[in-house]
Amino acid sequence: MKIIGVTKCPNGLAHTYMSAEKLESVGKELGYEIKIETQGAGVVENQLNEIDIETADFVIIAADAVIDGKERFIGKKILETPIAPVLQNTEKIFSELPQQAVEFKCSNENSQQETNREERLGSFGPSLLNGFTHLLPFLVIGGLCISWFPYITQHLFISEQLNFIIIQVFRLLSPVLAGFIAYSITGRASLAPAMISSQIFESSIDGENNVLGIILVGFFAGYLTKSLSSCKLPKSIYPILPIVVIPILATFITVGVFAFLSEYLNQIFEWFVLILTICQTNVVLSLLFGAALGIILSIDIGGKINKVGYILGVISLLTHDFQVMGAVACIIGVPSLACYFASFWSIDIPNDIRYGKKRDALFNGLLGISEGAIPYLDKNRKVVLYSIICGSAVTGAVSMLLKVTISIPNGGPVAGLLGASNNVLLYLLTILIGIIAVNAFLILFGKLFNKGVQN
Amino acid sequence: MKKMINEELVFCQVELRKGTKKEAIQKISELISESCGFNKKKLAKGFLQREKLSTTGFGSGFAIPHTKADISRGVIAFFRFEQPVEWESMDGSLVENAVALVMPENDGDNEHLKVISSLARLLMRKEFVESFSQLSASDEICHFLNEELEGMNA
Repeated sequence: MKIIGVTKCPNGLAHTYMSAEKLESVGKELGYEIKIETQGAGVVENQLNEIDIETADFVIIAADAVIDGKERFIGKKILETPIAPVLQNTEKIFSELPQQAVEFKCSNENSQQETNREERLGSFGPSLLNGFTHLLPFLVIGGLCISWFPYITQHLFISEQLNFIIIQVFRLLSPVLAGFIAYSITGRASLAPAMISSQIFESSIDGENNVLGIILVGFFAGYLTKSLSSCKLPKSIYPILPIVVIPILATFITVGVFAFLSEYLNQIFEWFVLILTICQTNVVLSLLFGAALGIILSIDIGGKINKVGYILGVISLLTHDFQVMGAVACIIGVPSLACYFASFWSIDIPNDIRYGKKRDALFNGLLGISEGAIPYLDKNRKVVLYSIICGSAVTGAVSMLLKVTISIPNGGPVAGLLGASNNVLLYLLTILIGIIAVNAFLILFGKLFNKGVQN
Repeated sequence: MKKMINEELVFCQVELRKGTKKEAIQKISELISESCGFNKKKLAKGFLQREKLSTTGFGSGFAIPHTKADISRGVIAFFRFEQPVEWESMDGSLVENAVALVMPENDGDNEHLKVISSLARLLMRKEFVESFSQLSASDEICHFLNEELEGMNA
């Protein structure tokens, strides 16, 4: 049996060669023919040639970084692993190879950053995020144009141009969202089906963007393309599969399916929008809704639950409803800023490598990045986290009460200063209240937990 | 063939107070800086940043902390600790031997990469590790390492 492999580590100095040595020596001991390519710092040694790849039974990719030339292995059975398990138990890698190796289908350029661990768990979350990540710059441009619109309507010529830009940008949103969700599932073969189908799906509706439908189009097109490309086909037509055969089939199937589903999906989405609207119009509900947003966005700073809240804000942006995003924008700036100010009187963190510079929290906060608060959690996790959660809930409620809006998918004071808010002063006031609230809770909880927030 | 390792950079019986990885790295940086005239703090920071990516303690009591620096010639130094160091090793073992590598930022002909890759491969071989652990005098260690490395590159 012939086994080939590639090893690569972040520095390309040591682990690349250590894992290569392990794979070679253990592989030979076990009686395999083996060849390992090392992708070191700047040099590739022992490069695999076409004959190696053609004759190999299995490919092992042991890497803590994205390897070069993964597409060479399309159609081969590959096993991807971080380097540590290779060094710890090389025999196990070989013994599990026949069961664990999977046929490599498409080069999936985008999700290479995520390790194979995430791929195995299913790519629902990462794919959705990938779609939204690509959407953000479009939303920033569109959103800024919308919020600047009232200021320059008196200049007729410019306002017409601006209006034109807004329309064009918003036409791109659905294809980009659906396209990049699909793209992260299956790669470039799914981009065209998802983009085209989402555009057609959208034109079947009057008025608002049916975001939920668009997301479904993205996932449907992505997984459809994936299953189409896993059909057993003669190898000779592989090169034209992702360009010709699969996109055509996937596009027609997706368009057809969603033409049939569009009526139901629109109904569901109308309810969703209705619920969102009710949550904002009824005063009591809106306060609760804002507080809930605050809790969701701060309960696991920078984590998965946080992303849910943020995506909800972005979805509401797509429906031209800027108040939910307004609350989100206020909330996401608060944790970092509040911790930064708290560092002057209570939670002081050292300026060392582990924590980064203290002013990082300030800049993070100004830009609406809540991760800046993470180092501060180390000090007194219970007190700081609870204070942030409660303070964020207050921020959300206040923002709903003041009906602050933000038209771009960013937060923190900077988003307001860019002119994306309906009322910059109220917006900044909300954030200030949030900062004060977090600090007040710090005192309260510090006493409550009878420990104090001092070191 | 140039000698890869200098006897002045072989330190046996390195004493630590706490036996933590951070302390060991600070000590390593200090000793290297003293004989090579580097910035001690910068060096330690580089090693620690590498450790943050993943531990370089790959088991069998060995660790290879490494980093890059703005220097013209690379440095390889050997350390044997008096008491084992908790290095978060992959196999959970304590580290007794560390081979520290400081590579130049611009490694034109990849000469240093060859040394480190040879060393990395050697440390994966049981016979090498076993005969190496038995050596205790610094001139022996130095001689043995150079011989083995030359053998790899021959």
